[in-house]
Amino acid sequence: MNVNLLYKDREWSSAGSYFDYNSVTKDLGLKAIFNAASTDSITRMGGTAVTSFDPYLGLSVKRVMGVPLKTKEEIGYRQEIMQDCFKKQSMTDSLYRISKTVLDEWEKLGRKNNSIGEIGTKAKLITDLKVLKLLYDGIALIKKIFSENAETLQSEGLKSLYDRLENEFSEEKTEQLEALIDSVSFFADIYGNSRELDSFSVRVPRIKIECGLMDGLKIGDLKLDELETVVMKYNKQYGIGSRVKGKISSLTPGVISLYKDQAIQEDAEAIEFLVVSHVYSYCTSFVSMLGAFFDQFHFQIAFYLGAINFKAALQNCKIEFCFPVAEDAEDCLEYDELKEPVLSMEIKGKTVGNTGRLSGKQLVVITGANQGGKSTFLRSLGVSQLLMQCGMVVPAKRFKSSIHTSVFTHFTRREDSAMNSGRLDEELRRMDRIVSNLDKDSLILLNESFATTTEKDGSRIAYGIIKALKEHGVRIYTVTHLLSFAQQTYKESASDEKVCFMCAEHLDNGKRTYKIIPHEPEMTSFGLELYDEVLGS
Amino acid sequence: MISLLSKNPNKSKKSGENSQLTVLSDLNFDQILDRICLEWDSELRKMYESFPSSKEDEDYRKDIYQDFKKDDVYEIMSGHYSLIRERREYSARKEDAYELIQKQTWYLREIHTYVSSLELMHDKLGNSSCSSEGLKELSAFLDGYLSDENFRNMSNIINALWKELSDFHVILTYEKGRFTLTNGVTEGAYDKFLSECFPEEHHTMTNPFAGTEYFSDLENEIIKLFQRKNHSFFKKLEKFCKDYPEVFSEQISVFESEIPYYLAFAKFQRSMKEHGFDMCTASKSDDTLSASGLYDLALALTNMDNGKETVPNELFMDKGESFFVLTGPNQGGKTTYARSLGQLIYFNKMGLDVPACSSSVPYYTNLWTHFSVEESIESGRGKLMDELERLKPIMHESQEGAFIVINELFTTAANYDAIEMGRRVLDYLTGIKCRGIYVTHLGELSKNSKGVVSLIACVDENNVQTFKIERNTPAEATYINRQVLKYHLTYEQLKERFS
Repeated sequence: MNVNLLYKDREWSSAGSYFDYNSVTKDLGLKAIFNAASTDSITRMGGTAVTSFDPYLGLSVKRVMGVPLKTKEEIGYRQEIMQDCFKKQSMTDSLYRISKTVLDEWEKLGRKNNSIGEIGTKAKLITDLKVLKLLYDGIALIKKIFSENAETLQSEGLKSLYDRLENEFSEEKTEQLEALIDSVSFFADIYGNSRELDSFSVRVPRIKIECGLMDGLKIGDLKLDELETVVMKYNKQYGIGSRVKGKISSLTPGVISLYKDQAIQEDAEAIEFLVVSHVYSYCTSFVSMLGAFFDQFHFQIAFYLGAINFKAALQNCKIEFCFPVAEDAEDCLEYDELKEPVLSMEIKGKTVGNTGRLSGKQLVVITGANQGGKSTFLRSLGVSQLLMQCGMVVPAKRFKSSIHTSVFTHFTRREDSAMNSGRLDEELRRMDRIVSNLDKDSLILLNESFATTTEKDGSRIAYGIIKALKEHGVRIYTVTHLLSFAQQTYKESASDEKVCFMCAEHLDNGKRTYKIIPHEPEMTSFGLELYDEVLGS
Repeated sequence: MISLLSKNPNKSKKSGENSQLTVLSDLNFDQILDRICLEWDSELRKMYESFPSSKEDEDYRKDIYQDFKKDDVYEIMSGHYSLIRERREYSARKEDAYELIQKQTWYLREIHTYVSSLELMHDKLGNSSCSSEGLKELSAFLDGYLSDENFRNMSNIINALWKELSDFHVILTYEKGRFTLTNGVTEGAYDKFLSECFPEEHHTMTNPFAGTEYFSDLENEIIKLFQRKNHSFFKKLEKFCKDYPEVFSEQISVFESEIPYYLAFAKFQRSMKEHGFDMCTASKSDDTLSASGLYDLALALTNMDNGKETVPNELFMDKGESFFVLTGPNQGGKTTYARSLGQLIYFNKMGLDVPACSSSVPYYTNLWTHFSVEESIESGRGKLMDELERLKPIMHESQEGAFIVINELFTTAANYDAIEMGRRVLDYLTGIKCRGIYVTHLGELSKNSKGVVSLIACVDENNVQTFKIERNTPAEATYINRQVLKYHLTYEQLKERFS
């Protein structure tokens, strides 16, 4: 039974992940988003926010975000479920807790050391039965929560999962499973405290088997006709009463008494073991299926719970958010009050939002003042693109963008001292790997690429690469200080509507607004002004 | 006594007397036999290691093998042989059994299988398309043997006992510390319930009593109860074992040991066909030796495992031609061609099909091979001496009319000597009407000798081996270019490397 909360027609898999996702994560500062996803700010006790940190939630968001959705339908499917989860936060939370409890308990029972279906010892079989009961109880709880919320669910994903649960675990099926579990309950203490017996009673089996006589008169061709667990008063096996009974039955014709000798008792135990193993052999696929279901369910629901936490973090910082609109059209990009969430969350939303219409622009070249918000703007575009393509909300009043097959980042990493030697070489190698992996529908974000060499050389390299990428059809957003490159591109693309130049806004009085606006590239990056501001003229 | 391997078994040499072990290893037969004999007894291999002792026997076997190739006969023989295997298994179990009543029931099983397998084969063979003398004799023998009154009586008793035993069913109930036993059958209700719960699943309960031939303590008690309840059956069984202590016919044993010779090869041939490798029956010819789509079976097996292609070749040796001298580049398929030729002759002599699409082969008195070997350290002789010693039995008048496969003779001798010695060998062998193939790097051997045909292993325009063998004069210069190209050492290549 599939969970299908991330995709309509399949389960989660990490195939199709962004190329070098670790670099993308680092360049765009996504760690802050994963941290926000891990921080539960829903639970409130007596009006006080009690925050707890569950790294699994952030991990799920990280992994899901790493594999971009490729169509409007896929994004729409996830956004619908997300909206249901936003409305039903405590349901989402409960579903997550149940799956977590089940998997944690299973772990305690030694899941890693016990592979399903492997024939083993009595101890292993007992564990297997406990796991069966655990998974069965877990699924029953999940079904119950769904049925309590069924009427208010709107999304196709959650509704069809509920339908699948109803079909797979119909009343008849539930009764059968309970009967089956009960019939083998003599073998393992699967009821725990829920059906405790008094100290004079014990659960014992009643087994009826039909046998044929095989070659060499060996017994074989077994058919199991009856199996049940019966509660009977406890008898000490070697007590006087038992011995007398045993003596009597051992003398009864047509009866083989267990009290006769130890070896026969061992044979009887072997039969009990094999009968229960036989019953369990029917359940192995079911247990595997439930195990796979819980693994997927836990992971998928964790993603939605993590997304709720991220949304809550934005709300806490009073950052506006929206469900972005994904467009099939090439080179679409429109945004109102777009913010970069990492910095915004850090300084509690006191950041400047950007508004712009860049549809039809394949190449966006951003130049201008240092500390003017260029890199932040570039990151806000990248982060929002990733958020959109995983079905999450975007920190903007409105965000609309094309869907890209992949997103690449090529950022200069000044902070990495290990790269001091041969940095250009490293940059070129990184670019080489990116070029080998991108296609014409990709988006690439370049942040001060090739600034590790002279302006002249860097410009020449950037010019060649970017021209080739553009001709290939790749969408490029680049922040650059390479003014020769910017100037040359500007001159050559005077009549090319697909190219757009932007600058960090710089008021006449020299004040920076941190807004990025369309503007022709300037010959200065206003570094001197900054120098003056910091060090004085 | 009737045999499927020889028309006159009493006159034939005993197996192993005309063993062809050297030929087998030179032609890579080890690998082929490993595959053919994979699932069969070790005795089978020996049968493939020696030729039939006369032309008459070769033809006798050829006829029988044609029958084994037919679908209906193949099915009959495969079915029969799997019953033989079952029967042998039961016999081994009987020997191992500890309890007397166990031994008796295993014996019942063994004899029941013997009788029913012969009856089945007899019925089916009578209605089959078999036409060979050998199988017709087998069928006629079965007619008499199975209709004999003693055999009929035994068969009736066995069938009755077997039915009675197979029909026994008991119900074992385990509750409150005791087992009870009743005769009868159940619905298998819980198993049905399990199948309803999990319709996709099908499991058979592991038998707690399996795993050992001996009775467990509980089983022992159950069988005792069972014996008490069904006393008359066990009395009858005991009587049967006393009345029929030895039932197998010696003639049947001979047949059973010979059937795998044909069956294993027919099975092998079928599996080769599934992999796209044809084998055919060589037609008889007075003088012309020919084959189309001829390949080295051992190489085909290796290539099949590695997913590589095997290149087939043509063969035509006309009337009046007696020896091929094959030259060409290293790794060009020369030895493979020589081997495939040897295999063709070998299988044909054995009365079996040959690795080719079509073929015609004259009768050869014998098959000899001479492949170069590493210098023998043990004997301390030089390699040339070794080669000459090994040539001795081949260069003998008694080998008149044989087929000889020679691969690289006299490689350690000086060129002039090697050419001279090679010529003498060829002259002698053609003189005693032998035919064959001589693989060598000495192109001179193909010139000026009567009846000698020059073949070369071909290369394409880039000097890459094609593994095709053609009639042509040797052209040694191209081989050197190929080697240079392979190592990128031509003038142009070196220029490019330095640029």
